[in-house]
Amino acid sequence: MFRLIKKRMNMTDLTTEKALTFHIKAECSRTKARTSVMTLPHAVVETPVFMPVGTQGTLKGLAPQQLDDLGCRLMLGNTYHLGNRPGDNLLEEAGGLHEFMKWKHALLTDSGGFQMVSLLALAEITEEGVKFQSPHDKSDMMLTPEKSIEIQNSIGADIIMALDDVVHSTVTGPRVEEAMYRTIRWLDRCLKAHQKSHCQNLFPIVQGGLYPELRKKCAEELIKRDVPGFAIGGLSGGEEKSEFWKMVTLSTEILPKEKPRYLMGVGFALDLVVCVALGCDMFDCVFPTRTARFGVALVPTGQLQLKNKTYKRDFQPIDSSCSCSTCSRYTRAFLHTIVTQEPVSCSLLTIHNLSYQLNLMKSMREAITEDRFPEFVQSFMLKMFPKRNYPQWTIDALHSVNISLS
Amino acid sequence: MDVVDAFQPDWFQALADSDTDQDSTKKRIRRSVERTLEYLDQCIKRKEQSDHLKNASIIGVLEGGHSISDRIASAKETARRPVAGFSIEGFHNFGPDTEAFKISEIEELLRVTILELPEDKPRFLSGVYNPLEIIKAVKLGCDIFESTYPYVVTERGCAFVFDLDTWENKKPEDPPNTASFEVSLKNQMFQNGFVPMLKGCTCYACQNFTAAYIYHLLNTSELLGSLLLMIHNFHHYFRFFEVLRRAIAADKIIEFEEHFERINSQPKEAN
Repeated sequence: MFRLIKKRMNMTDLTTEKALTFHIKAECSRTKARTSVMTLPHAVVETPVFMPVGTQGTLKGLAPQQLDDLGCRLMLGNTYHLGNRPGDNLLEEAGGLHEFMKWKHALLTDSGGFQMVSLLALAEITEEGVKFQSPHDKSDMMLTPEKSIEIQNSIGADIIMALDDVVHSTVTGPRVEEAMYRTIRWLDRCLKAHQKSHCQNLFPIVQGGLYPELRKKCAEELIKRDVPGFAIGGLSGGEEKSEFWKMVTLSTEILPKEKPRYLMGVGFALDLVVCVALGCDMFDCVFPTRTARFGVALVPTGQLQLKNKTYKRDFQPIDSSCSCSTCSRYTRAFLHTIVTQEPVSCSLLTIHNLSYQLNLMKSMREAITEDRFPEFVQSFMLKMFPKRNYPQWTIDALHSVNISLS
Repeated sequence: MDVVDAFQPDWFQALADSDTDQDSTKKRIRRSVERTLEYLDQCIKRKEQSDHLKNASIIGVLEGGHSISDRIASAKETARRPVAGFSIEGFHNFGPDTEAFKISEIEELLRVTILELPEDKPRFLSGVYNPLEIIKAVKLGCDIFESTYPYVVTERGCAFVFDLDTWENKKPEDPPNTASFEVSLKNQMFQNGFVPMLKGCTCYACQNFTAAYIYHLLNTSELLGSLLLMIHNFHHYFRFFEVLRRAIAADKIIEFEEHFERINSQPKEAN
């Protein structure tokens, strides 16, 4: 903790005592997109931003320097996994996750709730918290809002998440409402338990499933609390895209403009572009890094499955317009021979896919700054759907913010 | 040779029959020597006809199993061919067990072989060899080795920790905390080892990360763990060769060998 305070005091931006500042640099004149500068204890981050997920305190197959070189300034760690191994006590002893993994820029941790519910067959949610069996010795354990914050305080990320009552987006009925109200009560417990608000920013999470009224109610309640930013949760879980975008845009309508909006678990390039248009600032997803390990490379026209025989004699790089270290050295033909066979292929494809995602975000920021974001979106969509067979939900979503797809 | 031609290498080894070991019969050994020479002659002919390989260097392979006379014959005959270097094989069948193989078992065989070879062409000895074995092979006249050893060490989650600094007085003598060339980063004693794997090591892994972090990576089967170990092990193994070359240049290989053996097998002190 002392180290974090010391570091903050050495920062050039001493104009504020806050652990987070958010300045909107430019807004799109037609959509809800905006580009901003977010200052955190460990980094200055330009938004909209995509955050790679380094689940267990490492981005699989990459050294932190490589991630730094790609321009990444904010990445994720998972509290559930890190709380198990190496454990919050050890991380505390190590001086926090930044020091442990030697990541000098910003970190964000989730609350641990999502993994708990999705990974553990016998997780039971009560008012107290999430009750589960320890994966190691099967003893009964409890993740309370207080405990989640305690673990996240030990990890030391710049942004931490309140423990929410996560409900799968396809669940219907009174459970959704119950979860929404409980999320608000748990937020207040998290806020009370939070020991390091001077250097760690606690974001609450808007829940409410696919029910507009519940989402609205939830957002309105969360806004009453003094928090530096907001997350939109409970989406990106397999619900219909036609419902998904409506909940996203509803949330950004209500959430205050001057604070960052983090859309959790999103995603695919297409989703990123649409949700930026709908007013979101921060995103995270395992997709680009996970799909890399299955031999899939991301390109402006979609995806390349490099295991495919078509690439056996293809001596182009993955993307001739990409300047990442993989594309400047290797051909599709070479990668075809090593994907899913040699561990290094994970690293090579991960570098490319992250480069793709981060450059996509950069292009969007530039387009918004120069107020040509709608044109950017139209051009992006045409590259991805040359036959103009746009998914209906994207047509509707973009139309709602004044972009028409011909 | 079609394959070699397509690869367009700088150096390539001629196809050889090295499938002999200490249990091979005299007949088998003799056949491997003859066959290897036949292959070599064919490869040389093909090389000279190929645009891609005209200027590449061909390495002749020396056979002879564990038979002194066959070793001499193979070396003599191969040395008569226009080869750029020699690879000495046929002692064992490679694989992970060769880590236990000792140069002392083939000392005489290597000696008589190398006696037949010209001074100005490199000698390759492939196989898994730890630093002390390397020194023995170098004393006998071998020049080039390969990297299987750091690789197998990495695969088992271990990091090289043998001492290189005290020989050139870069630091005072300090009993190392292990009598082995390596330590296992999977050992729980490293779980809160908030220090580099090897004190003073200038590799990327040791300059940036703690043993505790690498323990965590290995414990969670994270790819970065073996990446960092590999970087460290290569770095340290290459450094060994640098120190060795300097010792040879200063005509101190015997002293270096004695020092190295002594310092890396001292009894452990609790750290």
